[in-house]
Amino acid sequence: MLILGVSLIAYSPGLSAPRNYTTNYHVHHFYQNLTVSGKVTDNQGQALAGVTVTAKGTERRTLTNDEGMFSLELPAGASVLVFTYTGMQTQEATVSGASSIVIEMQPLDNTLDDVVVIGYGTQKKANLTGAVASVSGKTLTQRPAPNAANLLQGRVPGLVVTQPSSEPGRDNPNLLIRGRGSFGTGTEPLVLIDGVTGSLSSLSPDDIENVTVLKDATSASIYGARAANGVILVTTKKGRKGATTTSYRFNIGRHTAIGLPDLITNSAEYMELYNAAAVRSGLSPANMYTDDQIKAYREAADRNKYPNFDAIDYYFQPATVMNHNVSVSGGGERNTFNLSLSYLDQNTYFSQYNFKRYNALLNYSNQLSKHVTVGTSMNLAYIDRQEPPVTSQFMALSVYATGPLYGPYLPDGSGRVASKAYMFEGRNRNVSEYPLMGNQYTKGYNLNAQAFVDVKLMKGLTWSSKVAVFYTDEFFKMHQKPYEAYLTQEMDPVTGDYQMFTFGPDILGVTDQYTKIITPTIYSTLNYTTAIGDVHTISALAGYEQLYNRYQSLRARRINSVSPSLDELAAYSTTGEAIYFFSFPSNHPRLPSISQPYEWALQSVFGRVNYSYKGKYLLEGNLRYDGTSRVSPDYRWGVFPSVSAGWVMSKENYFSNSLPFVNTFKIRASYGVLGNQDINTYAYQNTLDINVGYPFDNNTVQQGAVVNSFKDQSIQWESTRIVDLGFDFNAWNGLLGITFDWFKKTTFDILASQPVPMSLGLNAPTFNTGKMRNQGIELELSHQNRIGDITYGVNAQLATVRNKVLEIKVPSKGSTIREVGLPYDAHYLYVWDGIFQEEDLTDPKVPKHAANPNPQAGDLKMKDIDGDGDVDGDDRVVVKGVYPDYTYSFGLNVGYKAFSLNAFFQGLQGAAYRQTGWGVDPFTQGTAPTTKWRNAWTPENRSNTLPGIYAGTYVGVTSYQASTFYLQNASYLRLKNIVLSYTLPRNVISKIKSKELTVYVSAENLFTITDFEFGDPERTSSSLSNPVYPQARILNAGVNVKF
Amino acid sequence: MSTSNKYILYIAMALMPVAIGCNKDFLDRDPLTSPSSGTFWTSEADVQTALAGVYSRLQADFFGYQRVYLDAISDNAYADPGNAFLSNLPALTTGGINPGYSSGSPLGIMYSTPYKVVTSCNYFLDNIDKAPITDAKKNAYKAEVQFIRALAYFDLVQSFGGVIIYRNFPVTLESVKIAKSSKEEVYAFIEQDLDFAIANLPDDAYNGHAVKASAQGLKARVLITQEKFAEAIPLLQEVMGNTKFGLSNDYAALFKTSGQANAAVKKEILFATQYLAPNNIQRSGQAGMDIELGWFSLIQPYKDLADDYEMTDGLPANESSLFNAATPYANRDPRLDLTLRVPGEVWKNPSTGEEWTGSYATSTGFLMEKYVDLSRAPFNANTSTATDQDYIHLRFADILLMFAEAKNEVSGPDATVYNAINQVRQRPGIAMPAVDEARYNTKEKLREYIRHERRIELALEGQRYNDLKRWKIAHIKLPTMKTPAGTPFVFEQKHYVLPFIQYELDNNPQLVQNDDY
Repeated sequence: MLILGVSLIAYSPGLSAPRNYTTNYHVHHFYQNLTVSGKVTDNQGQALAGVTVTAKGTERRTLTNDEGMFSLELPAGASVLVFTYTGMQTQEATVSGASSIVIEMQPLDNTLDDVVVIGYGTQKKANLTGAVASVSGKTLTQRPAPNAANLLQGRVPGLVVTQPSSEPGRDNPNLLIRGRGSFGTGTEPLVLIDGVTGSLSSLSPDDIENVTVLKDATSASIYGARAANGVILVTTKKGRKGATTTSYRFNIGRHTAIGLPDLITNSAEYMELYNAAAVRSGLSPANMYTDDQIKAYREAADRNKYPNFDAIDYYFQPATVMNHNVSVSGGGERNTFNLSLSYLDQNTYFSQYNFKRYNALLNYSNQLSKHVTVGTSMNLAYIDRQEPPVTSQFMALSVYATGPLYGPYLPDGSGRVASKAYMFEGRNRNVSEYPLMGNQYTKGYNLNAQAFVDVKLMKGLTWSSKVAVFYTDEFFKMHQKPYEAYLTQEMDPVTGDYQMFTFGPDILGVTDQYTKIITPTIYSTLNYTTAIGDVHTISALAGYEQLYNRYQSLRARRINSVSPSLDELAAYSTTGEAIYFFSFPSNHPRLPSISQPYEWALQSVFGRVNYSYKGKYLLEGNLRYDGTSRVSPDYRWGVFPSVSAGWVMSKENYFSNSLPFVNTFKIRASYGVLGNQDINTYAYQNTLDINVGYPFDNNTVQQGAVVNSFKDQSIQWESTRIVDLGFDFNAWNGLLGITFDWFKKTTFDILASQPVPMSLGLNAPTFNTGKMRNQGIELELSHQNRIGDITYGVNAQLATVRNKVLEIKVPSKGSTIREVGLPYDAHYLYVWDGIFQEEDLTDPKVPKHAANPNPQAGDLKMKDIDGDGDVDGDDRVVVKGVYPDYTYSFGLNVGYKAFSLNAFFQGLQGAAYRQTGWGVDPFTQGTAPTTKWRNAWTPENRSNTLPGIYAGTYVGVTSYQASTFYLQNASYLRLKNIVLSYTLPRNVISKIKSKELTVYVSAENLFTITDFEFGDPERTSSSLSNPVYPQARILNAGVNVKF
Repeated sequence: MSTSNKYILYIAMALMPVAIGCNKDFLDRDPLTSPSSGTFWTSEADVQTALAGVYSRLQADFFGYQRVYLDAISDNAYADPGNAFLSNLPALTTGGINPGYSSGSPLGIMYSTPYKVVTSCNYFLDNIDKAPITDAKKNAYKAEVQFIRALAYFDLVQSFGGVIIYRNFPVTLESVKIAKSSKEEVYAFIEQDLDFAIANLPDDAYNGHAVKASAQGLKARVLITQEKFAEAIPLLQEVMGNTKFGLSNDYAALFKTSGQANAAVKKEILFATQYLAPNNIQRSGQAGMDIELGWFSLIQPYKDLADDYEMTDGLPANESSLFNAATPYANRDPRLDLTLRVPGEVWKNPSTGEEWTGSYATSTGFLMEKYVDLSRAPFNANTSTATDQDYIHLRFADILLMFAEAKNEVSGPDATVYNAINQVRQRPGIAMPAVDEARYNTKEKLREYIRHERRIELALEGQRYNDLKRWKIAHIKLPTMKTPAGTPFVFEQKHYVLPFIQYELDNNPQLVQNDDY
């Protein structure tokens, strides 16, 4: 958006006058030595303090005060005022007769005059030649979501953010820039906070100034061996020179679970359907409900004893989430500061959960002299997560598995907890058992501490250095104890009381886990910029960086205590204790991940050269030379170069003459190679396995050590080559903006296992062998306009990625396929072909089903793809849907006087996901069928879409879980967020000495358009056997106030 | 502070990070939780740890307790198809030897496990020179490891004929993908390793480590396998004259944990794969000899073996007056009862007297008793944590029988030959009559008798299959056998060497398949 207008008003201090907008400057002749006063606001009408107002061509200047007011006496001959302010477009106003003016500054967002943060510096957007996208913190915080990482969703074309669930503290999204780049190592982008490693998820959203995403080789290659999956640069808010501003923001939200299955809640119906299912599945009659039992439920007068319990309704309670942020920022002649404190208190549907996050940020800088600036940044987060001993998808599935036959407690009013109704029922734990079973918590500190010094050595040459430490300290405790729970419908023949039954605790005792991660980073850069005449601009950067990472952890568990309600390890005896166990029981999903201590280090030199010819022809070259401890000394160092060029055609005379309405048209191209050093820490070293020994002379076992795996000493990091072509287009002063990129990203030398001769005598090593390509486009359209009092804007983004495996040593086929020429892990499924009917059983044309050799009518029928008369492994086909065809988002904003409305939609098209188990397969662990199963196949109801009802696993249906029967279109369009805000009139808020006060209401996930039935379509995995922890619909209300 | 001093200070501040960063070893990061090549081999303790690692390789597959299953591809026993650890074993007797098996099949592990041993040995041999110990000690350690490498290559050459020789730990994967050497070259390599071992191993009683006599005995076996009988004789004589070794005073106790701890029994052992309960057992889970043999009945001896035991009068059953068809296994060589559970025999726990009746049914009627420790009965899921009897690779009785065989082949029957056989037959508790010198009075007749004695003495110890092959009678004897289901055995000339599995050929294009596969 370019200049939209300046308003001239008659202004008297203390009075608020009506504002008149015009679309052009009013110019009048007037006297010399005029004193001009006025007011500067931002585009929302809020006063801006600290704006520099200069009389053009003179040294005379002043700053606006807290109310945005200024007064300046113009020297003779001066008639133009220049308004400058960081983050805003510089404006000029010609002063005429009027002595008082109002200037509305426009933010730099979406303009080519914008300065964006890039690797080790900033650059004018106009001079960019790479694919770089930037989002302001202001845009991000339009959504008051708890986790900053999730706020990036839909804001950057090519960055796919998938939030796994709404579970407090476990809602960190999957981030993927331009598709899945590797199958050997991580695919997550590098995230840097103020230039160094940090945690985006633990950041307070209020502290983000802006986020830049580096997508192509030229923008990312300055980060060399860490940049293959793209780079996300987060800049925190700094102070600004000028009067001190205190702001406060409060938000309260109500979370309601969405994407829940519609389960049958009538007990008698449940029991009858179950019996039918059990018969079909060939279960013993002993494991069915008797007629008397069913009758008791159907005809019960006492619904306390015989409930029709709606577990989903009961257990998924709406929850309240609150956050507060206070910040004080400002600065004097020599220093700036920003101190910000945030508090988040997040509850969820279940009572045992609570997540609290406390953030403190202090950014301070001081100009020691004309040449030297020093500063520091301290960013501390403390998280405190309380949970039941079972979390995430397991919590959701135990709600589903509850069924309608019993509530949380025994019907006798004793408050004792029910486990299920009848002994024979195969159920999971009742959700009401979890508080008895125990609890767990995680307390973690994240500290990102930095100090920097910038020295201006001479004109155009700056030397910047930074020392930073990112430190994470996390403590986890799980405490489980024995407890009692009872059947609601069976009595103990001995005691006459309710029959006791429970699975009991699953990780009995106290489990403690400590994890510490420390990452010190040091870097130093020299930056030189010079201009030769008005024609050539050259800038160069050279730098050195080193970083080190160490991970340490300890996990310990004790089981036996005389007082199992105590939760300190020391209260338990050492019998049966386990220290540093990785996999007890094997890879237990209830325990947080843990790995052996490790360390790695990276050392780098890098450089960048930019050249601009009259701002029309742009060239950039980057080079990074990286050494990593993860690769053997002989192969340790790698070179990552990139080049790019841009041509600002709109600056050519013939172009601007023929198409004067085009403000900017720039085409750009880049090419480069990036690395991925995120490979196994000691991948090249012959480590010795010490889990062996030999008992010489049957005496004691002598500790042994053997080499078990072959290590390829010559392995290197994975590399990614990216070609990017794009253009930026802006016309009619913001009425149309287009940014387009086409890219081809090829990852090669992917580290993957490779079959070896057995005579090697060692396990297969990891080699640089695989190759994969992602190719796609990204398109961003924007439109910004003002009609009278109404400002409005539309912004839309669309991105596609096509993934293709080009080389893989060990192809595999299961329910997904890994093979050259196909997308990695594409669905590889049987094709569902309706339901077996009675006559199909004897029809010789109906193929034999290898996994279901003796079908019953009502079973799933599959297509015999190869036509050999048998449905077997050869009849699986590649089915698209693992990767969406495209992801998109669009936002609308409308402002009318003090009101502003923002709506933000996000979605994806062409994905198809598979789901089995709870909520899909009826009676999985007792889960009630969804209501659609009322129309299941029966001999009378010859359905061709739903098989006969079955109990959990049944050969006639669940043998074909890897079939398209279980696959559903997961395309969706979601109103991610809508917010309506109102800025209170100045004459009202000035009474409380406030500079600004905005109140708003907003909603997240208000509606979703999708055909997906198996829970929420927004999920991180394309194939799941556990239900997801539900997403939330959130209704928010909040206030922003500044003093 | 003057302005220039200030500048110096600022520049120093800016330089500081760079100064900190210029640490030469900054990128050298060794694993923190396991030794690596960068941190190991710095003391004698490291050498001993690595040595224990090499020996621990012997606990796996056919180098450990499972070696007894090799008798189940001979005429001695039937391999129950229910053995999940060694599936496809029975097929190897009925013509099922082909390259199509997987790397985890018996055919696969016969190839892969020895190479795991070889690679471990080569890792040790390539690195021990880094350790700060005397050359004499280095040579003694190397000698142990070269003995083990010879043991592995001996297995490979017996199974597959010519195989690839690796003298060093692999540096690159390509260096592993090379052509095989000839059978003769492999034998030469084995003899070279054993010569070094004999020259450098201490002349001690067996103590868990390979000793000089272990290497001498193994070399003798390597030589007689190549029919170099004359060369074997002096080696065997030297062992026979070594007073640190002798026959056990209790045949059955040789194969039980308690017996193996007894000096009077242990003196017979020249080399074994050792185990120690509860932390270094044969195999965790429901496994180990007691469970696999005594409970799950995974080895079922053939009647052909049982019938080969002499009557106590030294005559074959069909010639002896002591034979009674109603009680066919009464009055037999005592070793029959100590080796097999014959039909009708009741097993009792010797310490509690309690009967053990839990064994799975046997399709031949016989069960293996050698190596089954009934003092641990009743066998259950926990028995494996106590199952730690050592598997004996080489024992003094074998030395005596090898001597008898070699001497007879070189110069025919003489007193030294008869004496060697008689020592074995007449040990305490066995006390069989001496060899009928009149009856076995020619080289050919005595050869048959020595082979018979060897089958009896070493029954179900994993020797029979390779004995049949080196005597070149496998293609004659085995096709006379039938499995319990009546399927005839198949053993053709080509089966004297096994095929390399297809997986191996696929991954090493230099490896040429053996003839006729």
